[in-house]
Amino acid sequence: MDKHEEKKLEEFVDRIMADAPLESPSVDFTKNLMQKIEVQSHQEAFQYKPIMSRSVLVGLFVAFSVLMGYVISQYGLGDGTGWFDKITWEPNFKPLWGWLENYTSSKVWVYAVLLFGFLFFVQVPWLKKHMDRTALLK
Amino acid sequence: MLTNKEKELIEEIRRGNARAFTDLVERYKDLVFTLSLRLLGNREEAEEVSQDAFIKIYKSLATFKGDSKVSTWIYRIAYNTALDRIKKNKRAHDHVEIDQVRKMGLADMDDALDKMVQEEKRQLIDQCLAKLPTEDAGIITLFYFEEKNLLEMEKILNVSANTIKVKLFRARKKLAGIMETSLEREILESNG
Repeated sequence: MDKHEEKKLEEFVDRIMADAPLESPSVDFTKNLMQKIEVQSHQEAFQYKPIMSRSVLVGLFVAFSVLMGYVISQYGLGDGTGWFDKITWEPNFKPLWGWLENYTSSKVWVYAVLLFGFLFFVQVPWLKKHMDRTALLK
Repeated sequence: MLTNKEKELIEEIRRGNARAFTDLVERYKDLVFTLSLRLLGNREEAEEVSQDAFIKIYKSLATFKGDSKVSTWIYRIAYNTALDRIKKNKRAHDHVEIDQVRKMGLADMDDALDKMVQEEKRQLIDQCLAKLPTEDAGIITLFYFEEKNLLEMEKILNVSANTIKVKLFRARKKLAGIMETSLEREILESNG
């Protein structure tokens, strides 16, 4: 096909395309689209997102397993030579809670602690309700 | 690249103004739907793909740098969304034997088209475009949507202007061939 014929073909297609109809989607296209966007953005706002991705967790698990394998291979498992067997397991809470034996407190102090505890448990559901409402409004 | 009006519109959408996004959809929905329809050949599917394309547009507005016209960016997303759907369905129509005008000639075809009623003519053109292979239909549609700007088309199709020119030439030949067959059939039918 020479240049002249090519030009003619181009002009012919230009004329056809000038008459080609522009199609329209359904009447409620925009309305449906906006509803879809609204639903999706609401879902995204409440979507669970793990702090660590699956690959990081798998990596950590593998690293931990390798470390454990190394420790076991180096120090053995309960043959009396490892450091694990040298740890004393008898619990001794005396230094930690010993001060409680002689402790006394005033009535006012007890009431204050109880009231603080009560209010703390009241505000947890109240705060949850408040945060749910503000998230919905957004 | 962007006009002040386009910049304002995009800023409004980024600020969360739903009304501004509705305006953008209203402005481009027919073009996006027509492009999808010509690529997919099915109205229901084209509507779904157009909706998906607009959702992608909405989500990627935050990262749109404005290095091309808004329309080019929208067509690129719509074109790729339609292609993804075609790949997913593994259903591109690409078998057109006719790739050139044989007997009638372009001038005769012009005459025949001129004699047709406008509505009839539009219907015939629509049918012929639907018979074009997916790639050709996409290239021809985008060429006219982009007002014959090959540089903008490069950004949509990710191929060089010269490649687009070659593809356009082939698509034109195929369209003229399909048009000829359809007109011959029309003439035969009208002559009884």
